[in-house]
Amino acid sequence: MGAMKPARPAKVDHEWLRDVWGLSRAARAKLAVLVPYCCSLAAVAICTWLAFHLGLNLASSGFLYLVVVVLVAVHWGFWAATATSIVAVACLNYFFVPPLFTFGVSDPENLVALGAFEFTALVTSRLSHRAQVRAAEAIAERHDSERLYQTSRQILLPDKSREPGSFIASRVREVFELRAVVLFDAVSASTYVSGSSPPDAEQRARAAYFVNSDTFDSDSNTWFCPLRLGVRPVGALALCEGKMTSLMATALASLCAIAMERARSFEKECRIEAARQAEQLRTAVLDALAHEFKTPLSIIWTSSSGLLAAGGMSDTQTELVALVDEQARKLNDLASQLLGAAKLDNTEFKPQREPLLLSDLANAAIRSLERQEWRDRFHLHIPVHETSALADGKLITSALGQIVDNAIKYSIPGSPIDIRVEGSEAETVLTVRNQGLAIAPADRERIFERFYRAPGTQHRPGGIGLGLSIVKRIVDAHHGRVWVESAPDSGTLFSIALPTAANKP
Amino acid sequence: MMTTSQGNILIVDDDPKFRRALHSTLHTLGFEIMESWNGEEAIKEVKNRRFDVVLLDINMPGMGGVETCRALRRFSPGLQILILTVRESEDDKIEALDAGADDYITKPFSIPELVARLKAAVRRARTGPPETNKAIVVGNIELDPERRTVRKKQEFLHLTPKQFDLLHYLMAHAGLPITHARLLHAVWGPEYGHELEYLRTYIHQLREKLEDDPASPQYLLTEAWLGYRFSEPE
Repeated sequence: MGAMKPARPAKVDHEWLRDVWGLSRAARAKLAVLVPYCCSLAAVAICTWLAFHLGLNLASSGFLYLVVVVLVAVHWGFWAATATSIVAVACLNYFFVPPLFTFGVSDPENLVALGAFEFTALVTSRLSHRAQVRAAEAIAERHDSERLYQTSRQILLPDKSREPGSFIASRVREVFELRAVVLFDAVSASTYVSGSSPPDAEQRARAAYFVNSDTFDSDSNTWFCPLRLGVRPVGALALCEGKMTSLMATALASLCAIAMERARSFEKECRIEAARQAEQLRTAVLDALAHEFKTPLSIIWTSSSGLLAAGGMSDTQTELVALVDEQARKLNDLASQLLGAAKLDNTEFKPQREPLLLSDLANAAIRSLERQEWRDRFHLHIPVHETSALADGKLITSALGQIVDNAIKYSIPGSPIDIRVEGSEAETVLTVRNQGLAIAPADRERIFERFYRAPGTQHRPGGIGLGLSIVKRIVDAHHGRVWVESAPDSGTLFSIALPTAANKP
Repeated sequence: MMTTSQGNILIVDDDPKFRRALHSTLHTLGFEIMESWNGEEAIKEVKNRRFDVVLLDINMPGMGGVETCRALRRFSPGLQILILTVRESEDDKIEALDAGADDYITKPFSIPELVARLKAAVRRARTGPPETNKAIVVGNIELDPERRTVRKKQEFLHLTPKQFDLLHYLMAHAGLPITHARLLHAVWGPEYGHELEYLRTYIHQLREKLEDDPASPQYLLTEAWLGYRFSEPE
């Protein structure tokens, strides 16, 4: 890095002036302006002495002076070189043009020569000065690109142990040797400051974000640039007190915007990965638990129903065993539900869809009901030509089973329940209508959430608020829709719409 | 408590606690019970003794339920095989039915449900396969294979030859689940097996003619994602 730094003459603090005369910084700065002129004069004086003592003619000494003028132009610029050339012409005239030691010119030819010298000196110094400036600019530009590259390398490699905002601000400040850097992140609405910034810099950085344009404040020598992703502003950057071109400031702002975005997406990715792992673990635990529960439960149930079937018990015994039987069955259903939910949560879960008739699946769901009196409450209405829906038979039957079960649980006992299948070209819709408890509008979305139970249903038997969330998960996996309509007089309507086989998404 | 035997049952399950619960219950209810803890043992038992029904768990270590079912079916065609499945293993269930199992029951089950299935199976085991030319009567439906006629409440129904064959096969196995593949093999021919659309169309047509309410069938029941069952009235 040190090797890359070019010498910057303007910055040189002439400390010898302080050492010799004890001058103040301001006075030294004023005096420093005179240094090139003094040096030029000295160089002209040496040349004059040399040429005079070597007895050089007008032409030779003219070339000697030209060399001095060019060197001055290269080193201190055009004005110092101009001054030097004028002094040089004066010296040529005085020391080398007859009549000697006067400023008069006897031969007009010499006048031409002096004029040509001055002209040449001016042109040459102008050109060489310009070349010098270009070279310095090129070096500065290369230097800037190197710093930009260095910054990009540092800030695009995320350091997980540090907050990206403050890390980026401090890296930019260090590499570009700025007094302070303020980074405003609009996404998290936080500001990161590195170095000692002017008091209003944070405020003005935020303003730059809202105005969405680059501004340069010459009083504080500060750039305010919005950070943009595409054309959308996502924050702002303030670069305080440093040598910085407009191009550089904009480039730096783009770089910071990208680095911030990169850090954000990296963080998001980490979060998603962590959530996925947690989900996997949860599913595995739930799955294992449900399995471990199911085996003993099924034995308890076999035994209790066996005891009941064998008979020969007193009324109390029969009643107690019936209670064990009923509760074992209920626990078993819950374990099955949990197991089903865990399976659906698995990220690798994909329904095996095939063209099926929803009426068949609805029939299967009704038939799996425990009691004949429940089964008899259902009336199925199907069109003459029912279109097949794309469905995973097991999953949709289990979803329908859940809705059918709810229809029995939350309706007036004994009231009829209508199931209607209607189809269009795009989708087949199955609706289950029952009479009874209306669902409040506020609950209609929420009943599909996991573990949500509508007010008034918490104390009803059988249910932990899992069923409808499973239904929704299953229907979503089929690219279908599920919704509920409810009114006190017309009853509650659950609808499931599934894409038809002709409309494979 | 012991009366004449309701039937000889072999329980094949790897879980001893489950076997014990079933054994005591079914024994009390009048069945003769033997136990095996895996497929190999079960095959040995069946070779040595005559059973009416084998109650076969489908998920067992070693020789699985499906393999055992296939082996049992090879040397004991008249034996009734009732498989025990869990709700999550539908594919195994179809495989076992195609491998020769007669019926299935899903764990956990209530004892009355199991007993009803066992009694039906014992009856089938003892009466043997129905005579092919004898008329079959199930509920209100009467099918005469010789004359190729079907009557519902004494009224003749007009069926196409394919519809008749399909109904004949289902009624000959009344009460039992028949997989899609088996139906297609039996009615359409051995080269068929995946043409579910055929079945769906024909079953739909049969329901229109046979059922009081085709939307809620009483006889021609769909066994979801498995096949069909001609239901015996309860």
